[in-house]
Amino acid sequence: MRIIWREPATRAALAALLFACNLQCALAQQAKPQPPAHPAAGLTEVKPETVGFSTERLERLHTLMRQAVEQQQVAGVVTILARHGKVVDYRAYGMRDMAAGSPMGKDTIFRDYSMTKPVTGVAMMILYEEGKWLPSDPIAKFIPEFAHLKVYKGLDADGKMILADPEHAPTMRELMSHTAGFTYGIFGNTPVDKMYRDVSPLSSKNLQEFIDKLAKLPLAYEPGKGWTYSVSMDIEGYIVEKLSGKPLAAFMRDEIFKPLGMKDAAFHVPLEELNRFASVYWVDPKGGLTAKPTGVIPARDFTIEPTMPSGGGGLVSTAEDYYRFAQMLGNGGVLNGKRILAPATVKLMGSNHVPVELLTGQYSIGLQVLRPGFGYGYNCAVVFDPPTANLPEGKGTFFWDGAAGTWFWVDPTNDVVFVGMIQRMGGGPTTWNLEYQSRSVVYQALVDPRK
Amino acid sequence: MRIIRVAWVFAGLMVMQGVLQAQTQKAVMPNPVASQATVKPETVGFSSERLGRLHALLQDEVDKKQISGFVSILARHGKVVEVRNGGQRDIATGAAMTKDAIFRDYSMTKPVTGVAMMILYEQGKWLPSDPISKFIPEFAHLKVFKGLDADGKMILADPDHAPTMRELMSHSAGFTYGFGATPVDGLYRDAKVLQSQNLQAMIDKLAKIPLLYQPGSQWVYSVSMDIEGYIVEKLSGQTLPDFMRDHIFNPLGMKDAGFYVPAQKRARFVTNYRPDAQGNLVVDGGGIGLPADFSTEPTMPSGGGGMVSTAEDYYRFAQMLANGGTLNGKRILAPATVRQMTSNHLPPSLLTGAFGGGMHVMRPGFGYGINCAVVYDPPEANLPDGKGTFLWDGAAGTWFWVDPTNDVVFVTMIQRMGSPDNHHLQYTSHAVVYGALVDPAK
Repeated sequence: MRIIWREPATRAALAALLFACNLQCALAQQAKPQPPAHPAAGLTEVKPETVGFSTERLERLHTLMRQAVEQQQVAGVVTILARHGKVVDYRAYGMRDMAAGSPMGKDTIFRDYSMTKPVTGVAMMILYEEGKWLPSDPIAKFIPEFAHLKVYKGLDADGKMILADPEHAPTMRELMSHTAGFTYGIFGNTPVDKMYRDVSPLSSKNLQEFIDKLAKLPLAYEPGKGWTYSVSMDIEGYIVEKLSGKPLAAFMRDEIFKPLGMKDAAFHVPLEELNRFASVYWVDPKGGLTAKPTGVIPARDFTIEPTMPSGGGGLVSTAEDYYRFAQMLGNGGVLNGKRILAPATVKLMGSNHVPVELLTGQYSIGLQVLRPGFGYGYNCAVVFDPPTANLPEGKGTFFWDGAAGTWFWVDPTNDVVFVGMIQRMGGGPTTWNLEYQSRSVVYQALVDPRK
Repeated sequence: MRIIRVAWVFAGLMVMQGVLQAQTQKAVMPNPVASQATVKPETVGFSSERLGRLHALLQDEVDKKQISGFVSILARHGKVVEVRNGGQRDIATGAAMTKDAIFRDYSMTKPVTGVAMMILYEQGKWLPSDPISKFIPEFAHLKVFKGLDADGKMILADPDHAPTMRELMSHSAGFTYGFGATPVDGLYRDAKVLQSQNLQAMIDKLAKIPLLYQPGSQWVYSVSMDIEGYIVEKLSGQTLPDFMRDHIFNPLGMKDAGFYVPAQKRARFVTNYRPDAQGNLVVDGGGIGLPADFSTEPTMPSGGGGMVSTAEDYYRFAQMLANGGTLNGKRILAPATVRQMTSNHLPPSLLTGAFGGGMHVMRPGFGYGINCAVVYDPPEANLPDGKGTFLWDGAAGTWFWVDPTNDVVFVTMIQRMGSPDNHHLQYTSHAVVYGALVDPAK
């Protein structure tokens, strides 16, 4: 992922481009509310008060983001807040690249990482609506390579793995809710995680090789008896290809990105758009940010189309691209007349599918802790009881985030959609948690939810 | 030999007559549900384009020779959105499937028997808390199977409590069907319970067989609805077919609903198929113990599986339930009674995934009411339907559901006996239909 456009020769040319773009953006903003040119073309922007928000209180959202930049918690941010399908607040803060001094723009392209998962989920639900699969189907119906998966049961006296047949064949429902028995290999430290690290399924040449590797690894736990963040959504990507007969990238382009107008959403950033690609930073243990990679997420070159498209973490997009996707879900499956899913299907996707006995706080990934009121649906977390989960949003809010800190949520009760894009790897308990801080700040500004 | 040939000619004539009739009908009455208002899907929130997937789903089954044919009816807000038919009524003769084709409903008889029981409930004739033996004294001393002793003899005990009407109506009283592997199922088979000469003989046989489990402690699909049929006769003083005809079929205009197919309607009777070991459709020869000969009025009408009807007949019945007990001004039940019938009556302890049949797994969100399954929490049950959707199906693959939240009614009739693929097709249709309901607020 060495960033090509940092090289001096291209930098001058890009600076010129950048200037042109900034000028264009500035002009477009001045020209508002006159139509297109603006990256939010086709989106309606309204005064916060018309949809129940307090302009004054929303200032706290701006302050939070400004301070995050000032204190070098993040290099830059783009946030979009919408209610009732209308954009209330849409701002860019800070830098797209600190060394180059280039400002963050609304048209900046970000690494979505795990925010790819809900998109893959929608791809799967499109095929569900076409009658191609059911939650109760065994995964092996679509991936015969998985017909004989074993389950890891512990180590024997000699330190050898004890393996058993699963009590039931893992199902599609379990695959879609991280309860099938797969793991990631990069977060955990179980013997099965170590096996994942040894064969590195996510670094496969293509999805078939990825599946072939997984077919030889045991499940980390009995299907349905645990929740572990996993390669499940990469497996779904393979199933999308198999059921649709199209590469994952082409399926998403034709069925999701194009209809929704997600212009820059893709599995790579084409050369001509690299000047809009945000630099990624890592939390520096000594404080602030560093451009030097640290941590467990493998680096990836986003400038070329991957031979193995990752349904679990491969997408890049602008904030607006992702907002369009999230608003489609907020609208019950439709945006600007383009129908992607039916409302019942969105509801099914955004409902908890993890058995309540697993929602005890013992399963988590990063700051996302499954607990009473907070479960997991298909490819996204679900707050089915916000006060119990200690959260201010409306019942049924679903959401997820990415390894580089991007986050979004869709609140069907309050009809609120929020997208926040940053590029900070390795955020943890000691760094600012903009995802949840923004929740508090947004809901304190929703002073008239009946509007 | 000559007789056979004559029979073929006769059958051919009947088929031709059927075709002519259908053509004539087409001129006079464009579709058999013409008495119901048929509307454009968009007027009630469906996408015509997306409904194309439903046709594709069913037609694909025909094209792949997985089913011989189908008739399918979808309605919302009491208005028929579409009636579709495809494939063949009989593969050998090549007779096309028609909208007025008559099907074996099998277990889709159960909700009809349920309504018969609820009619009598509204008349004050029984209460859910009543012991079954109040109406069937022969059952006063039923024992409960507790296992086998060292000599392989059955250990029997008295029930913890006398099985109740509520338990009878929700397959949790202790009865079974005779298709299972338990020693009690073996006794059902030995006694030929389902092949009894009449309902009294069936009751007398059951009175001598122990319950499979303690009342209320399990859910096991069973002859309970056949027992209900006997109770309907006893409480009403009418035979079950007569009671259903007078109180349900005639008021609702279910013209071809009955317990057999009279000779003059035989041409519209769909051939029943089953998949052979290779998955190819072959004509079903019966023999698994369920009613197979529908040519004459049975001496033992089966409240659990004896009915035949057209898709439209069953749609009328289902729409009556969706309307809270009424259709075209004919009141069958009150709304509260329909609600009671279609609410879950199983305790959470039975909704753990341990009980059920095929893909009808009793689980959180998916329970059983009175003579039908109930989806009381759809996402929890992994289903796209509205809350409170109730449904059931038949052994030959027919299925229906009523969704009171979205006010949707769906009926599809096929004749593929005992196929494990029937449930999959059924649940796939839920995904596809709700995928087409793009504007539920309409």
